[in-house]
Amino acid sequence: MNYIAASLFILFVIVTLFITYWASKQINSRQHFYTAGGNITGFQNGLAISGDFMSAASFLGISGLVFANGFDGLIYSIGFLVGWPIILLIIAEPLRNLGRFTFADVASFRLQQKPIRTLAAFGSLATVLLYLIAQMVGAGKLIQILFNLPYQFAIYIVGILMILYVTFGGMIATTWVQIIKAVLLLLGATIICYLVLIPFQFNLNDFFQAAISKHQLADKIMAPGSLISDPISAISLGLALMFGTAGLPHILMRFFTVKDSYQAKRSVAYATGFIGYFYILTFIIGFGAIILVGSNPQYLNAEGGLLGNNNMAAIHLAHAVGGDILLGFISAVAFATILAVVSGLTLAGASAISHDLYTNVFNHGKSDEKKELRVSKYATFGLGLIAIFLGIIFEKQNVAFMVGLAFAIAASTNFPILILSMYWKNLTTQGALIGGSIGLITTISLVVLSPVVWVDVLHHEVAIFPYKYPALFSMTTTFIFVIFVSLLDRSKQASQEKALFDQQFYRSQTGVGLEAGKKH
Amino acid sequence: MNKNYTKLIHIKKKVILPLLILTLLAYFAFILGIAFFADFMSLTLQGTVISYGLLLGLLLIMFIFLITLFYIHMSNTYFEPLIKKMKS
Repeated sequence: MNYIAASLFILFVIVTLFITYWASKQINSRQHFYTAGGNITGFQNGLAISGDFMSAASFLGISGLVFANGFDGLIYSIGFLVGWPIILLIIAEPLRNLGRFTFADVASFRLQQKPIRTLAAFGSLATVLLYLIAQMVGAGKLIQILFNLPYQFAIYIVGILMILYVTFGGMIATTWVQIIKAVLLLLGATIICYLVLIPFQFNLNDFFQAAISKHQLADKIMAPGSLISDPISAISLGLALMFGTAGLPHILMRFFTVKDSYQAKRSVAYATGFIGYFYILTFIIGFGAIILVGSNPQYLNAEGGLLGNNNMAAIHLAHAVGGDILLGFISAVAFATILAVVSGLTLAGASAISHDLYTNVFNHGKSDEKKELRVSKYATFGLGLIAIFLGIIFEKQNVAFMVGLAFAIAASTNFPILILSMYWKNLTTQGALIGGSIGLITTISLVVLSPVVWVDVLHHEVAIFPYKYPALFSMTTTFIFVIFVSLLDRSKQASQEKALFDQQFYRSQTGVGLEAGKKH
Repeated sequence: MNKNYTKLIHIKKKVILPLLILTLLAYFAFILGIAFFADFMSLTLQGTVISYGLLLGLLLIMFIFLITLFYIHMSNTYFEPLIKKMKS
């Protein structure tokens, strides 16, 4: 048991529960619950968004990838990062100007509420649940190693704290937990890098030279390795990372927490800066671990691998450069990171259930605000229990594919519907519904038939679909079907929907009409 | 009001489209460069161990950030004043 880590973590929990209590006093409407009343500034939101992105999986996973393969880790980082200018250029402003609580508000702005919201809610819930499982299982295993706690116990702690934060503190608590954690993580990672680079007097060439001399791949760690070997995989992975980000409901909902589209744009620029900086740090951490951890028997098991697994590279490095204190700090931050990210995910899932499904699908848009707020709290509680349950049953499963699948669904279902509803006049309800559903089914099928599930999970000899990343095929399928069905749709309803486009586009670009408050 | 709107959409197109294309080109050039020209990406800068791939990757991260800064700048200078006019 690492006492420093445990006490720092308990301190974090106390502070965040205090924030939750403070937040709970302010939550008297669904605006506060879903969007913190729109009172978050661009800078704060930028930190919160970057916090959502700097999950334990990306901090530990990418530095672990760099530790194992060197350069290849950078390919992932850049793919994740490049989604942000795309979001800034074409998504952030219209999203904020058209929506209030969920991205389904935007997709269904001029289309039929029920079918489109149902589709969007399915897309959201699928992404959120897959992401949650991956985070929960990762959390359980990480806490098992860091704090020596039993796996199930760790899952319960994460699940219960997350339920408390979100149910009582809503978006206000979720945002502040995320901001605090983002600052702590950036601080911790900066300190590690600083301590790693001091002996090299910040001479990067000497630093990389030292890594080359310690790694078994020698100078190959500076060059592209096996992650991308053929152009199809390269493009497909690139598309999933790039456009997946623009279809993640827990990211999209953050744009509703700021006052207007101006602040929404600013938050993306801040977020991009923080995330880019963070990825440079993880890269240095990965290389630092090659130098200081990879050949130090203290951190290796009998087979010469890292204690725990490669994902522990950053944690071991913290110990190597900063002793027990830095190790404790980074471990506590890693735990905090998991809590913050699962809270955001749960809130995104809960708002899809209460705002989209309950109010707008089952109650035909006639929303009793109080009731919707209550339903969203029940939904949070329910999702929390489901997350605990799934976290436990998936303990021994290989969940590595789940984040990839979540990104693939986000890129192939949520993103096409969202972008076409914003920019393409001829999109109709039928087109979105049929195309989106086919896209969702195609994505899931391709992932199941691909090497990551068919071979790695189901243990068949050869995969039916040869590529690891389906986005190139599934995204194309969705776009083709949505566009074709929309163009063939000659119904009266379709022409009404097309007629509404100019008005919607006007509002999406200017925000005029926003204050008046639309029907949803 | 309509004149301002036409102007806004016109200028937005002129800013957003090139930036979008530039971002996509830069990124796909990078990953396709890795897929097709791994040998070139593995070459190192003279006198160092730093490969072209690594240098280009780090430059790309900075470039991505600069694109967002540039867009915010354009937005503040050209879009927001027009939007403000339309709202008043």
